[in-house]
Amino acid sequence: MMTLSKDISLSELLELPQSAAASSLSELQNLIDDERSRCMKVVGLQVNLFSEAQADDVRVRFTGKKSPLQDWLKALRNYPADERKDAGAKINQLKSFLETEIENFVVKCRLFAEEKKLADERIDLTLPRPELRLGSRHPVSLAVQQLLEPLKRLGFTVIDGPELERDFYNFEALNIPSDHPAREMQDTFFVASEWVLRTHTSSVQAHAMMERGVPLRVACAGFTYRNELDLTHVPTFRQIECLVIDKGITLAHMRSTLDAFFAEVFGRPVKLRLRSSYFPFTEPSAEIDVQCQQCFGSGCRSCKHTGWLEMGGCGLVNTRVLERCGVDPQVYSGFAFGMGVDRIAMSKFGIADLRSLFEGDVLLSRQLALR
Amino acid sequence: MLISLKLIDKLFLQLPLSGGAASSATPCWKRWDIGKFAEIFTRQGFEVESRLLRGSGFENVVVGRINSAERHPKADKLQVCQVQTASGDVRQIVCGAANARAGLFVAVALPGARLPNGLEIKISKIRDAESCGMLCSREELGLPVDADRDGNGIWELHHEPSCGLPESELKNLLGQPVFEALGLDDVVFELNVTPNRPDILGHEGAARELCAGLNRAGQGKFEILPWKKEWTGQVAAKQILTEAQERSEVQTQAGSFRASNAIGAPTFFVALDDVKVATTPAWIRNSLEALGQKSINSVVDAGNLILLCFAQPNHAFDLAKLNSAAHGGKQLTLRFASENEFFAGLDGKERSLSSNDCVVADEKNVQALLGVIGGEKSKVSDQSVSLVLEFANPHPVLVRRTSRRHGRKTDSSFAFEKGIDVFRRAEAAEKLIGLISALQPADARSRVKYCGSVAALPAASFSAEAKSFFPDAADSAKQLDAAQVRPLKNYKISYNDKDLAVRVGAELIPFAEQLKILGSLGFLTEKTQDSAAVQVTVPSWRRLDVAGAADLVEEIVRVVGIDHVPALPMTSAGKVVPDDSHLSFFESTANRMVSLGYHETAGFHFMRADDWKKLNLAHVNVCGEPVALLNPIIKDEPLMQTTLLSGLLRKVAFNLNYGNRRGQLFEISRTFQNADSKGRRVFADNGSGIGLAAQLQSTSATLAADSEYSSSAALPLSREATAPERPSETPRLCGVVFGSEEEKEWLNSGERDWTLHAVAAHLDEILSVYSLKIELKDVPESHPMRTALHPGRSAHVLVKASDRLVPVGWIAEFHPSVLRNFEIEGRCLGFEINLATALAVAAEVKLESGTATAKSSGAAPVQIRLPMVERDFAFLVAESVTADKLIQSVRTAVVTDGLEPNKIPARLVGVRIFDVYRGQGVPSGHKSVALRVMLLPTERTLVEADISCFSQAVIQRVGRECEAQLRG
Repeated sequence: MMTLSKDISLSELLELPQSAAASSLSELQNLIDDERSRCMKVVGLQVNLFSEAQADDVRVRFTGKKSPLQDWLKALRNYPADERKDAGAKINQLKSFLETEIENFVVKCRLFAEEKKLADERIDLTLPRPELRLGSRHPVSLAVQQLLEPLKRLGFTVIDGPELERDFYNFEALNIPSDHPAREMQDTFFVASEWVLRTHTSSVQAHAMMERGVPLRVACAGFTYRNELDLTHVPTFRQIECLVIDKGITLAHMRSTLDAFFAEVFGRPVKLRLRSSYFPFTEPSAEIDVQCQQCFGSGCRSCKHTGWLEMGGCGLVNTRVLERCGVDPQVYSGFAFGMGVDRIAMSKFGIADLRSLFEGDVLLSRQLALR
Repeated sequence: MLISLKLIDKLFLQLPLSGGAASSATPCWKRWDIGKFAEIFTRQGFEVESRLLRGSGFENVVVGRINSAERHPKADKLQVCQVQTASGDVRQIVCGAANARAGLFVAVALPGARLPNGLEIKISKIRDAESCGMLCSREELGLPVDADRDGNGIWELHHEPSCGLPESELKNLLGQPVFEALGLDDVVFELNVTPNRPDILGHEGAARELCAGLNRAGQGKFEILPWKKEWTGQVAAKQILTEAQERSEVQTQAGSFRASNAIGAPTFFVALDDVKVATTPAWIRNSLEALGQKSINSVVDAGNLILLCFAQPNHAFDLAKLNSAAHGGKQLTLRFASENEFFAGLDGKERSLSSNDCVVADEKNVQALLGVIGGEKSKVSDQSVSLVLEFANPHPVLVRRTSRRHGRKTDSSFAFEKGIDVFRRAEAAEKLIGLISALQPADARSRVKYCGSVAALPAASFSAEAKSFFPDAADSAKQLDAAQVRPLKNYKISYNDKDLAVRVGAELIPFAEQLKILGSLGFLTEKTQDSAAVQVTVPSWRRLDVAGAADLVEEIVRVVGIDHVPALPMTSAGKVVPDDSHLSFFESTANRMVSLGYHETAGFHFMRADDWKKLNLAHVNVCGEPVALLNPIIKDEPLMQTTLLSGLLRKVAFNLNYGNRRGQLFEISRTFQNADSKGRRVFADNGSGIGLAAQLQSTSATLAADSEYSSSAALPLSREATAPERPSETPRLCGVVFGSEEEKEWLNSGERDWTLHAVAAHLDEILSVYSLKIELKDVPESHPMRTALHPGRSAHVLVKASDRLVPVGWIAEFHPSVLRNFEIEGRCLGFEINLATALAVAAEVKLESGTATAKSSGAAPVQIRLPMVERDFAFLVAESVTADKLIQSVRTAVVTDGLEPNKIPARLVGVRIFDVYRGQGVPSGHKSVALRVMLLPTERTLVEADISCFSQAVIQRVGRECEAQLRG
């Protein structure tokens, strides 16, 4: 068998018997036996000899409409009544045999063909992968959210305020009267005599106290403006500012809040250092330093060998601010702290030139999104 | 502010020696624990920004003596010197200075020394003569040189005016480093002085801080030293004050002197005779030079020293050089300069003044720019005999403006700007007179003669209250002129043992310790009847900012260290107040943009004055009148943005320039308008001062009331009563896409261009954040941005409110001329959405759907998930039939003709066009549109009858309404 060329042997094997009609039961038996053995021979062949189409031919040949099996079934009513039952039994026996064998055969052939096809479907995985078009948030926006998150957990309500601000909210209410030397600290963009682009988010503190009432626990993040532009200063930058006003608020509460906040920001307890400083709207005031998280205080490039990173300022709200904002300092006290977010984002993302954050460079955005 | 530790040590506070150091140890930084000093300053609020060790690095420049000097055999101008640098150590050095001579003590840079100009000294041969070092001039050692005093050539170390020492002393110093031997070594701290502490602009103030810190450290008792006795005694401060107010004229050898005042700045002048100007002693010159000052002569240097020590600016005029007035004597007047008046300053610069500058002038000329700089003509010279010393208290703001206007910041102007201690003006005068007298040359012996003082008071206030212009430190409660930085009235503060704990939240330190700290800082404390409380008197130099118990607590906390305050958790009120609701919307919007592939960008929010031209817009006010800055930093960006588009288009151009060929960018930020919520202008003079007023006022925005650029479509950001009168701030989202949507890769058949449909899909997605559905309409003729957009590929974006469509923005491919203006090659599409409007409509829709749900609240249908039924149709229609029309027709057919009348339990999920075909088999002027109807059965699976029912309805209605023919 194996030596035969498959086409020849198959066509021979599949050739229909000379006559499908049987004249007697015994002849029928012979024909059935022939058919059975023919089927056995075919399905016994190795499946790799059959194409899918040929496998189907085999099925049609043995169980199809024009197969001997069907002929015999059709011819069953021609048998005399006494033989019919016997003949029927024989034919049905053959039918169930053929159907089972052919079904198995077809499945085997299909599986084989599939295996073969899959083996041919090997691809070159060294070809470049398609470029994905993913977007990215701005690094400072990400930093803002990452800073606001712990504040929200600490119970701060996030509020918003105007960027074009009346002199009163930006300066006067915050104990920075006109011509006070503190105005030297920030070069302000003026719009008109009584209007400025807010120089800090602290202006929102004044709004909050006057319009939302106390007690308060609020945080405000937003754009602020100062008249400076160089490697490390841009005129438009973001700040986050927090304010707590309640009865009996002390410096110790502020310290605890700062400890908790920065631990959350860095994901572990960090060492803070407060240094006395001066802001007109707080008293006492302090600068907040966080131990450098690169070198842990031993000094490295990112902390300019000081071991500390300046994060922002804080202090107890100046009683003059409370008074100007309609809060009774005899009853209430509070603290505030704030920080510039662009600086924090710069150190977090390792950005050397602050101005590159404002160029909208797609390549840089994609790189930063991965950090 | 630069602080010399040596000056502090000499005059104000004996600095403690660091462990084991001898008081004579040199250089001085080996005597002191300067790290600790720096820590004290930083902790107490004066960050030490840098520390300079003066003389460090000059250890190899030593004292030497020239034993012999002979002419170089091969060079006329060179000498070959044998120089002794230590006993027995004689080296040959070739020197080109003419003043090198035998017996001269010199500064010898030994091999290995590196000079400030970068020169490294090596043993070398100069014209065949070996030279083992270099004889240095002062200049070569980085020291200032005054040709008159120091001569030319190498530094002669015995020369007194050049800070030299007698030869008898130098003899014993051979081989010692020059800086240490001559006492030039010093430690200079650069302190960051906060604006509330002008007292730290003087060394006395800095010394006081250090004193408090050292006392707190508990290693001994430290006190501020009194001013040297030998520098006082000429005349008492009190007398100066009294005289100044009583006399109107003083007599001097140079004639009589009067003063007048037209500007209201309290001022007095002190006249001196018999002045002998001398060279300044070495220690003063060294201190001045260490602090970056030039030493001039004894009088000028004394004045500067008073300024550096006490932050008390003053100025000396040579009385003889002033022009005589009509009354025959001399007169100085404080007045405003006339426009373009001429002034020659001490710095050799000639200036043309403005009428806002305050000056001190004689009859003819301006002799000083008040508070900033003195004049060349009346400056004190070696010949000066009669002087007037000016002690003026000019207005800080006027000084600041003058100083800026003329680009001249002096220590004097800086001190005035920050606020001087007006209570100690007379005391400063007393000390200055004493110092000038003490610095007279030893041979003169006779001291200067105090002639008297006159005040220059504003004529109007020449009355009894004039007394208060120069308050005596002991004289209380009198007020200063309103024009001054005004010391606080109340400088007696009652302070008790609870004051600290109530603010700090912890005891921190005992009450007695607290009072000690206050004492160190110069606060006087008096006991009261209550043993737990004291009365604190604020020293005059702190009366600008210390007014109450809270300020005293700050002083104590500063010195103890605010870092030592313990942490105490807040007890939560347990009250949750929601965030301002728009913030989370903007966050969701931004995040959705990112998921659509956009990169978020940030800008400065400014706009160029000609951006409207580049955007092809009708005029500058087309999107509302921009707010103009009075002092723009970027000169060609003087306006606040009214649209985010120009900024983003610039970023597109930036990317293309840098080779990023495709990308998607967005920005969410505010736009600003000079109009309030009712459309009224806010700043009448908008644009004036930068020359834009005419342009901004010549045209007015003709925006429809419901335009997305109308000032009423802003976000209310504050709740004050006058909030509606604020200039409008409107958050907007602007997105742009450039390059192709998909580039050619091996995986796809080709590059895919951006289409407006693709970008509109983004918009659908974005507005779904707000649960809004958009509708695209033709951009109306009146739309402000219309001219910036491609006329055929642009749309006005509206959102559906309950009863109307509200415009929120536009979407478009940009007009090619706009892209050319921004130097963008290739296509670029984008959109801008008013987020305030989107939010407002979303709130409205939500409210309504909320009420609707409430009304129909009954048995909410249970969701049964049955498989979706889809049916495809292909219709042949004329080109004029829009997709929208076809879809509407199909929807009506399905719902109104099919589902509803036949009670088929299904919901129409969508009708989606999935193919539009033109070409073979389709007659010209027609298209074949294939669409899919998606139905979600709600109760049971649909049977064939149901499906054919709505299919027929579709075929009939669409056939009728769109003249559509079903294709096979």
